[in-house]
Amino acid sequence: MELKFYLISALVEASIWALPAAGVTLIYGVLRYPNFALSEYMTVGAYLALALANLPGITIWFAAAAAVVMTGILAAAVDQAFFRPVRQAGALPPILLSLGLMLVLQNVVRFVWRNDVRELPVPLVEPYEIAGFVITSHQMATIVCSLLALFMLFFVLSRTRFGKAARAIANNPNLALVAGVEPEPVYFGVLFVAGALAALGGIFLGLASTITPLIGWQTLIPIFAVAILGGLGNVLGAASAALVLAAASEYSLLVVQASYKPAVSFVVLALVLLVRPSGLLRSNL
Amino acid sequence: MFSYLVAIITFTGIYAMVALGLNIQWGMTGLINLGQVAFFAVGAYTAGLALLAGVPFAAAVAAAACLAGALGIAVALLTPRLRELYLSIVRLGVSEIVRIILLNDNWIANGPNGIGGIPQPLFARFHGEYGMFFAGLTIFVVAILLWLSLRLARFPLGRIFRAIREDEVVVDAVGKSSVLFKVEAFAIGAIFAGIGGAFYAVYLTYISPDMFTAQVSVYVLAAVLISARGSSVGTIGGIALVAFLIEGTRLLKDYITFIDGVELAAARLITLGAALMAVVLVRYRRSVELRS
Repeated sequence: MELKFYLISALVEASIWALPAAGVTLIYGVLRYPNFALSEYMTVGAYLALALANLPGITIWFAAAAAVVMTGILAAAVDQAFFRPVRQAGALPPILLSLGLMLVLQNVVRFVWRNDVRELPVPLVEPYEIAGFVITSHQMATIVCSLLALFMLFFVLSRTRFGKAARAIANNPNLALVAGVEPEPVYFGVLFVAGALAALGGIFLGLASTITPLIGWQTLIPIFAVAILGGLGNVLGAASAALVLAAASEYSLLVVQASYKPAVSFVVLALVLLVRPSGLLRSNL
Repeated sequence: MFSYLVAIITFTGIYAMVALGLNIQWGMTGLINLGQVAFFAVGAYTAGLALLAGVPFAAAVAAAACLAGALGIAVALLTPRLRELYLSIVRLGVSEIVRIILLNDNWIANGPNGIGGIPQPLFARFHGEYGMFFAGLTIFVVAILLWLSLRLARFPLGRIFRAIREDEVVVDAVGKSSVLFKVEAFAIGAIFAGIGGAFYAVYLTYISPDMFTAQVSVYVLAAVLISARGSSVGTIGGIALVAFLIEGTRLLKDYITFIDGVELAAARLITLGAALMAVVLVRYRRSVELRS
């Protein structure tokens, strides 16, 4: 039945969106600016995984894991190199930097790998039928891994020292400083996590469809819609909002033609913001 | 070579109109607008369709300006209560929505194929020299818009815009409705962009949705950023730089033979992105050092 088909694709899309959206919301909560380059880390992560997986002897799992870690380190390094000098200058400089970075990242990918459409080297799979739902093992892997990643993120944020420091800075930066929290290591960690999550989302996106230099760019609006809807800075909100917007986006196919799909999540966001300008859930970490 | 220079000048002029509009919104009034390309697109399509329908050039440009301005008012009014940070994202989204609608709408806008064969004004008169004529016309209009910007900056209206940029609460406190003036600033900026769009459509005689991606908004953003706070002349300088980086380096294609077209296009954009980042670092690092 069509409704069930849309449910699976909605879950997959939510899994893909939730990860970079969590990254966006994390960066906004702790560093207080919207990082527009995060969607390009999705692209970078997908291409890194592609490149690694095509090397002889490397399994797709290892390639994905390595790509995730590498992208995380890249994101943190870029932040330390370019964003750190203007930390005290307000929210505008990092926004502009992230816009320039967006151009750079996407076009470095384009420079190295060109515009061709590629696919991750995974075997084609037969879909299973479980309780009336049709699902492939790829889709199952995406949903499960994404849930795992989100659980891990939540665990890190609530139970580790790093997580507490991040939440402290998000809550009240000056008080956190006074209390002895060192901000730069926290920022490094936050960027690493956000970059890693984005890369993971990009890999799943590449798994679900294809890999081109534009996959991050095409996801920019949806992930920001998710982050804003869930309340910027609220990770749990981002996960929930991902479900809502992915479901709206997929089920809109019942009503409008497919090429309007990218617009749907934004329209939903606009409607919600008209009523509740601060997003669905409260904005905090 | 010479005709190429003329082309670059024309492109610079067209983008300058859009950038001047953004300068009024952002440089003067402090409204971060990541979606300026939306008004550019609306202006282009309006003028293109009007000209195809036989409307005279001046009227088509006026129509483009009106529709773009109307969209600007609508966008500005829809989101008065949002914080500026959210607003910037919303405006980005709006510009992408406009592009998606143009991409899908086959009834008026002809979808992904775009509209072509847009008649150019006075073509018969100038035939061979049309490039120079149009470049001259573009420069003329840019000069008018620049003059308007400069006068605006000196008028009381410009003072209110600058006041909103510096401290919005004070504006309300002295009894001027900041919302009204923000909408006004936004609409004027949109009108400038719409006029630029009209010229774009006429110059290229063919427009399609993929010419109006959000990256264009980033280009004009870079231009306004390069200029000093709200300086209209500085914006022109900025857009000349950006236009040179984007279009001018195409000229190098003949000399750079070791990488091909796709890679060169990518390298151009990497340079632009890096330049944007460099400008930001240079500009704002100073303010950080001053503070500490």
